[in-house]
Amino acid sequence: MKIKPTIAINDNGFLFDPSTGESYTTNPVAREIIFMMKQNLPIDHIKTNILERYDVDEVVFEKNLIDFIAMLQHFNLSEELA
Amino acid sequence: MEKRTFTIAVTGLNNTDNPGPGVPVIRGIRESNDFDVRVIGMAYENLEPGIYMPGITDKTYLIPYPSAGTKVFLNRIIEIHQKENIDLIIPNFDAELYTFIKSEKILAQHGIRTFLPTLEQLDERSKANLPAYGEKYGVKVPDSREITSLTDIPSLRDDFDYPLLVKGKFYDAYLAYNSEQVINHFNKIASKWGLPVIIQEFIKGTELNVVALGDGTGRTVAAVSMRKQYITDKGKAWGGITINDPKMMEITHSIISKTQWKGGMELEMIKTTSNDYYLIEINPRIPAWVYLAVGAGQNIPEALVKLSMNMDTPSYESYQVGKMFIRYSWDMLGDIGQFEKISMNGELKNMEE
Repeated sequence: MKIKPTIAINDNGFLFDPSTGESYTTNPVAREIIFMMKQNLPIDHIKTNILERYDVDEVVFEKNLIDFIAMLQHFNLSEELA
Repeated sequence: MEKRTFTIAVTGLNNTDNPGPGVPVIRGIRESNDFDVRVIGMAYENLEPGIYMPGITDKTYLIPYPSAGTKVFLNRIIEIHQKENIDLIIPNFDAELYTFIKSEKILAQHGIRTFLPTLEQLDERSKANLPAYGEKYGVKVPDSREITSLTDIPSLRDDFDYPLLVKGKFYDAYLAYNSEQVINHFNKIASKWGLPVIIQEFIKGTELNVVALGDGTGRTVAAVSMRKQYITDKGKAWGGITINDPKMMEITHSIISKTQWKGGMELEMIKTTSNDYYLIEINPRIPAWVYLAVGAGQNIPEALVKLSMNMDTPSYESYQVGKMFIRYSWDMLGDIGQFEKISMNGELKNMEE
């Protein structure tokens, strides 16, 4: 899963979809995840990276990550890795 | 080379919560680097804000509504022309276009140019003719039907699912969830805009708009697409953002090419969740949000003036995506003397002159 290349993301984690004009704000952790997805890093890698650096229960994080990825798909912001 | 100065008359100075395109059109043409302009406002009502706004018109005249009759209407235009020597008129209301197009030759004989679609082009894109238009030019359009009487309403259930849209022939559109609501909207619209009233299938999706300019030979001189971000209770855009939607541009270029559209236009489309595009309306003039296109890099009013004046007018190739507009209200102060002049004399010079 990766962020569509057409989606513009700035350093503050503000997303803009030029094809729809929709924009989205993200919190700091979501921003980190999006930046990693933008680099085409696999989800497992993203998960490990976040778990290493944050004090979070793995099950809780995994559930939130799945929700977040589903949200990105719902808003048409992501696509499968080639 | 010395810049030419044109005297351009513009209608649609009603910069209200249901704004006419006159003021943004004037802002666009005043920003031209290729010509200078003297702007003559033409107003139907003496409280149209554009009459009083500083830096918009140089002088404004009251004109009668086209419904007063073509002769009365034209006589007033010619009277103003004799004082101001108008080079070009840019009409900005759907309701006045028929009169201006019909009068194109007479205006030309007096040396007044226009840059308008033909009567055939105007008629075929009317709301009532939209299904035939869609078929002819290969564009998806919602099913629609004209109704002229309350007795037509019960049978709508045979052809349409609720909710459906009830539309006036020029302006206004209301969503109706049952036949009672259709009756209410029918009466309201018929008393304001006359008959027929148009019933249109409701397509669920995101409304997207394109402002475009055709040169009359099939060439798209400019086209900018926008999504409304904030809509008033009158359905007007109070905020919008330019977007990059290649499919909408393709549809726009195709329509202009096939119809050889001449003049400004606004395409209103619905993009469904399955990525189908339905053309719901074509407005045969520049829309009130045109200044967004100017800000995004396509000065459509300026290009329209250049085409009218046979100046070199290359097509715009791109525009800035993510450019936004937000309308606002502002209490402008005037003087009773100004109101007196426009009311009593039918004309008012801008205060800055």
